[in-house]
Amino acid sequence: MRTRSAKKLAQRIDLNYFKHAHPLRRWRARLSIAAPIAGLLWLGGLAAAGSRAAYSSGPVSAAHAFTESKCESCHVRDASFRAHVGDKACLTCHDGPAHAGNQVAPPECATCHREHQGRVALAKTPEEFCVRCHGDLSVVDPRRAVPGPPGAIPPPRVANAIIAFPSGHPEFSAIRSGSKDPGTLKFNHAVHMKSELRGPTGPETLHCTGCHTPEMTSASPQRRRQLGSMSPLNYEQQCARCHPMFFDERIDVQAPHEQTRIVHAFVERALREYINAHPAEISKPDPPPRRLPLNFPQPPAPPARNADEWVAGRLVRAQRAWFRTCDGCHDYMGGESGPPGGYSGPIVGVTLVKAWMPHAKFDHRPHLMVECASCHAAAQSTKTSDVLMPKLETCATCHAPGQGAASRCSECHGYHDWTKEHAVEPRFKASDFK
Amino acid sequence: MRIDKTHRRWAIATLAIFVVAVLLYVPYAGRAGAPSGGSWPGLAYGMAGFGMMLYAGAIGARKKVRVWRIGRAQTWMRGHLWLGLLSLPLIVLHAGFTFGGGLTSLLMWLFVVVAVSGVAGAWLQHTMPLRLLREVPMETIYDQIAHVRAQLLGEADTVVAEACGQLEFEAIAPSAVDAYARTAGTTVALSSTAAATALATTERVDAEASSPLREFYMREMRGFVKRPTSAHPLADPSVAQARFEKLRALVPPDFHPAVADLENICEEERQLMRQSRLHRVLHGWLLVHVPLSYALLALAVVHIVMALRY
Repeated sequence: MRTRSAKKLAQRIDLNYFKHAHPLRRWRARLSIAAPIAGLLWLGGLAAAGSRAAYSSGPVSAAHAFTESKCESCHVRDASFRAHVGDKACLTCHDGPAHAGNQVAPPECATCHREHQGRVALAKTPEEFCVRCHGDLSVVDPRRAVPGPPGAIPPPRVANAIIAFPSGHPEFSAIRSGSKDPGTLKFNHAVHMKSELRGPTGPETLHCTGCHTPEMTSASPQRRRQLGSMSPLNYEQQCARCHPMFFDERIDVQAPHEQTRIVHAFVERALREYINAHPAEISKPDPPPRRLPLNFPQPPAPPARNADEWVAGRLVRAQRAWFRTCDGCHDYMGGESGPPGGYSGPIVGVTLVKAWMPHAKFDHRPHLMVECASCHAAAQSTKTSDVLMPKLETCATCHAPGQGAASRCSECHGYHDWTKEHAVEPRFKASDFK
Repeated sequence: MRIDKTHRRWAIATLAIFVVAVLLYVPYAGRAGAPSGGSWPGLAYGMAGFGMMLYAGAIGARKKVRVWRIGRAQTWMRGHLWLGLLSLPLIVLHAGFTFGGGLTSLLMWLFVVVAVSGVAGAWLQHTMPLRLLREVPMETIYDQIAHVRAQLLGEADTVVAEACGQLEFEAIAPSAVDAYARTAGTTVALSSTAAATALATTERVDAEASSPLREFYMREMRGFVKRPTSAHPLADPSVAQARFEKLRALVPPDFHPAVADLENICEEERQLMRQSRLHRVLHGWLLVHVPLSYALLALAVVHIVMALRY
């Protein structure tokens, strides 16, 4: 009968067993050598192929994608072992004008523009970088701020506790209490937005986009800031269709949109040339008015006995028509009671506000799906002095944390003062990035 | 190593460090810019995590040079378990919850595999020894299994030779035992003993009465003892029991003690098979954990050098 005594079991043991590694141990030892070597060989292979992608902490931004495999473009080795990206490397290709003359301790470029975060837009920095200072702003004495060139936008007076948008952000200066539109062009939005207005070809209803269109392209890099803002208004494009400067039904020429003196001279000359060419018209009645602005009701011209009377009578009729057209938009110098020298007196030059928010930028293009009236209360505006800019809370409907649309400071504000931009001397050749 | 109440202080310390690290991370993550390994807090997490990785990896050196009296082996193992486990979240905080690309991505995945295999290994080390104790009462030293098997074969041959007379098979030595047993120099002695015993008993054995035992052994059991496989019928305890019951019915009662011995040898073979299987499970994870740990440490050093450079 088999027995398993301790002595018998002990006698079964080969006392030299430890001299021979078991397969599991042998394989463990082999793999422990092979695994690190495989890893190092992989890195060595990449290095031999000239690739340093293994050491990249992530894809570079879309704008720098062409330097993806040219680390040394930005990682310039200094005297030490390090090849850290400093401001010098950035300024090789980019100018980075100062933010504000009184800024305390300007950060390095890479502090805000974080590379290797994927194909992101590097300029769209998170608001945390701005809040770092503007959340508790401590600036040096504003009187020491470096003044800008003549005509430059003055440094903004800034709120000093902006945590995010809209938290801590002041109401837009354009619509703060007491703000008025300083424009000199008289305009009643409410009237123009009525339905069935008298148009050149019959009744029509105007829409905002009939007059206001965002600037979609910009040929000049200097004007990139205005891209997406509303195109400048002018008489020829926005007004002339409904407010033409015809002055007589028999003459298919419009008066120039110029100062009254020039207009008056042009019309008088045109009437005189016409009647000299058609003397038979002196005794004929005027044709019925059919086009703007001549079709506004007014008494008929008195009968003329000669060319001078005919011209003078037609000139008065034209002036009456223009009174409704010109005076509707323009002020005459000397006040509304009556310009010196009748209606031929000079009109006040037109000034329009070019940028309601000079320290911010707004691009209408991404907002085209939103009705204009959602932000601009134009239909209720009857005065020229009404400011039709939206309130901060209107923007915050969408642009606020948790509302979906981005609310970064950089959405509206730029950090660098591009008015101080300098041209950069090219340092690379295209072949450097091959 | 069983994870019992002796680990309590390590577990509490690990949890405390983890909580502190996370609490410090919250204001750091709320600061401007995404957390990155290159920032000062990120570097601090990285250095702490790498220090713990080094400590966890040093257990390999500690095991290699056992004469070094640098702390108790149990303390090293507890530190390996808990600090190694803690190093993963610290490195994740260092990386700002991103895996990066290229080398850093490889490092993170290696780390995840090493940590997961380590946790799995700790669980196996916690549970398997008890299972081995319960399921393999005839357990032997794992490295001795081949050697013991060779002896079991010799023992079975002897039992059958004593009962049935000289056996007609190729000499056991040297081809009947594995290479390990050969190198141990024991096989020749075993086979010689079996042969001598067989010769001495040949005369007194009734060949006809013992033939079922001889047939069973030569045709069925010896192959199993020589090269045990799970596909063999005798590897199944219930099948084996039925075969041996049938054998008992075929041989005179005088042979029953020999049958019992053979049945016991089969049982020991089965237990050795089970021990081998459980041992492979108990230690197989080390084939992943240890090599990848070395690769992780080597590549981490490269990562540190290159990260400091760029």
